[in-house]
Amino acid sequence: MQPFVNPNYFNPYPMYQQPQIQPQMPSYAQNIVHNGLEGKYVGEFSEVTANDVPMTGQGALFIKGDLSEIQLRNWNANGLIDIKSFKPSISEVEEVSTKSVEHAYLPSDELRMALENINDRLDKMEGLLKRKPGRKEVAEDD
Amino acid sequence: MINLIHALKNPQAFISQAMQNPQISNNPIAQNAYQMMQKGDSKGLEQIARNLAKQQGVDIDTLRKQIGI
Repeated sequence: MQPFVNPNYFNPYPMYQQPQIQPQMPSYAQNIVHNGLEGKYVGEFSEVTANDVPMTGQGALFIKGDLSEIQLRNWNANGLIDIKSFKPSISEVEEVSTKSVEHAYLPSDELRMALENINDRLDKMEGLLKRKPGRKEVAEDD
Repeated sequence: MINLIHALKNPQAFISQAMQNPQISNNPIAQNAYQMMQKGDSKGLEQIARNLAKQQGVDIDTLRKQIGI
């Protein structure tokens, strides 16, 4: 129950209302301005509105919270918003580097042929060496 | 209010003056619209207005029907 306040009653001690200052907490979707670059973190790009893109000629960067994509949006001269999307390519770079390392250890066709030739000749030489003592043995038996 | 009265009296002079403001002159849409205005390209200006409205989620044709224009 609220107390009855007589509007005709003159209060000689007026109550001063202290302005309540609410602390500003940085919100997730707060705009960032850094070195003239505007932008903000977003959960989804659908959260970005046309008002988030400045009409100053410079674009604004919108960064997905999980850093999976960054979009640069700016107004073009026809009154439409152009979007350029940037995605990380770390995994692809790693894949290429491993492949290139593997490839570096693989012998070329020419080298493989040369190695095969050497192996063949070594086999022949080995065969010849094995035959010689056999002959001697045969000769001794005779 | 005074600016608005001046703008209504001589809109071309008002826009020319506004284009000297760096905040407006750096705006590519304003530059394009100003050039179209100088050329008398009303269709181009209408297209810019349509595009701007579209980006804000407003369809001009639907809005015109709602207003009754």
